[in-house]
Amino acid sequence: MKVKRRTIAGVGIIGLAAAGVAFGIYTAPEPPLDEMKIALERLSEAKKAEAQVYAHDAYKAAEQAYDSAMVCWAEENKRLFLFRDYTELNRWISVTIEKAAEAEQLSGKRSKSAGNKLQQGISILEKKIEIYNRFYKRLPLPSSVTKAHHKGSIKLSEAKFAWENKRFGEAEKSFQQAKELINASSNKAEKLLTSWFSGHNAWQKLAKAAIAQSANGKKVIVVDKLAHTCTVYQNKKAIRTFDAELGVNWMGDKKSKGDKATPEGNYKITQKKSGGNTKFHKALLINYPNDEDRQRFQQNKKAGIIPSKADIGGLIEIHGLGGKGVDWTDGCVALRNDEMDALYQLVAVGTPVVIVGSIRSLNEVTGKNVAE
Amino acid sequence: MTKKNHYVLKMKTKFLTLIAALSVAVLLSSCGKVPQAEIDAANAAIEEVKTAGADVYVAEAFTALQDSMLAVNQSVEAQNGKLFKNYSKVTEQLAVVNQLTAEVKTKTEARKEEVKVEVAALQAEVAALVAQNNELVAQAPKGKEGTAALEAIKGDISVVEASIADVANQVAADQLLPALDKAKAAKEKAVALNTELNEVIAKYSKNRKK
Repeated sequence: MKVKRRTIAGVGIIGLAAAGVAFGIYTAPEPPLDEMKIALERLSEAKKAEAQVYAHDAYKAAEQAYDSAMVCWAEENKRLFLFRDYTELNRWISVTIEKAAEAEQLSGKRSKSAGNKLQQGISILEKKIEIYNRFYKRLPLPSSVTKAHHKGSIKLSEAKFAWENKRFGEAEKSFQQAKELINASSNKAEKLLTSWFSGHNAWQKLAKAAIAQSANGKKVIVVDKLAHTCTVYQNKKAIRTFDAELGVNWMGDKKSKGDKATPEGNYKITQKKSGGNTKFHKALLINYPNDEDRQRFQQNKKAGIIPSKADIGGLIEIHGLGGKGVDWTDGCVALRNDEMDALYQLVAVGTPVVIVGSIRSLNEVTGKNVAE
Repeated sequence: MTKKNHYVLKMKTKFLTLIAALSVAVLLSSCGKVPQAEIDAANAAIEEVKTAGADVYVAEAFTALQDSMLAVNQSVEAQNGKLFKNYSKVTEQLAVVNQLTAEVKTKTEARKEEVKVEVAALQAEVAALVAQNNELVAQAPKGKEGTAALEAIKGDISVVEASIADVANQVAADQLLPALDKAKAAKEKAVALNTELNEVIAKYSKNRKK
């Protein structure tokens, strides 16, 4: 009887305990499973929007908040289910969602702005390359300048390809390298051109005087080195203009023999050569060096600009075999053979030949870009 | 009831209680083992595909893979919080993650191979163009009006050559995508130089005939 009572009491206690446990489970706080899923989704969306690149701080904060949420969840799981509290976990979830949304939004804005900025930068550099090709490409620039320019243009292409493939970080890196190279080469070329143009007033005076000389029906030849033209004036009017090719180092005045520069100054034709007298189809020899050239040559020697044993050179001609599209002579002016024939017919021994750097001013030649 | 019978009944009750307690303990713990070894293996495999360049070559697929692993971690934690733990769903998810990892690995290797082939083709094209350009320079007239005329273009060719040498270095360093950009840019420049050279040569030949 006693045993029976005890058994009933035991079963009752177990039943009560089971009911207590069941009640505890029923009333215990549930972990925020759906919210955690949402937090993960938001984080993923932010990552897809390149937030790691464009909104690094906000994304990092979201990622850290998510990690804290996971740690918090693990800590709560260690407690007895009746004593769990998900308040802190919920707070981390909210921070994750908020920061991920902020990162996604920021990234969208910044990537668009960075894209615009890069595209703008690329188009500015493309313009610079165009200007360089138009104004500086034919200048006898140091190889370091041209090399930097070519490296820069290749880097710019790399930036464009990286951008097309959405590898924005590398696009930006290549763009910065291209910018440095293109700016350096353009600035150097601009500096050299500007320095050379310091002689522009003298060139203008020479050209004006030459044109004035042609007033009485006399023919005068004016060679514009920058424009690469050889123009015949008569009665102050240009009657024929030919394309001209010059010495390899045509920019700047001729200083000595072998410098491959085309001289600048007031000359005249001293001899007309054709047939076996020239290997350049036809040629018009000019009186380089003239007195002024000799005087300057001596001054340069004294100043140590040229070596004391340097030779002034000579045999500067306007001759044929031109039309190559590049400057290739040792300092002569080369015309296409058919145009040389025409010039040969037009002029005579004694015809003045004025060679100037440029008739047009620097601003006229290059527009605002170089002057700016 | 004798004293002996009472003792036997008492022992019987204790024994049954012990069995019941053990059964509950086994029930609570048998299904509840975190598949830690599998989780570690999955994480290691993900790290391996990342090292192989999955985050660069198949970025989207790799992000999806990482997200799947994070979801597994959530499932583990969800089970950790339960009284009656059951990680069978986690095991299923891990199987999916492993499958995804294998797919990402295959995709990465395929994409890398694709890029390698593309770079190699571009390298060959640029090499041919450089050779052609050098040949064109050699065709330039000799003497005073000779190769000096094309000196500037020669300089350009050397820049392209240097660029293509960089491509080879990048390929060797497994930097395939930057190598691809460089090879494309080098080709663009080599083509432009080829056009320029042909124009110069044609101009010269035309003039020489006169």
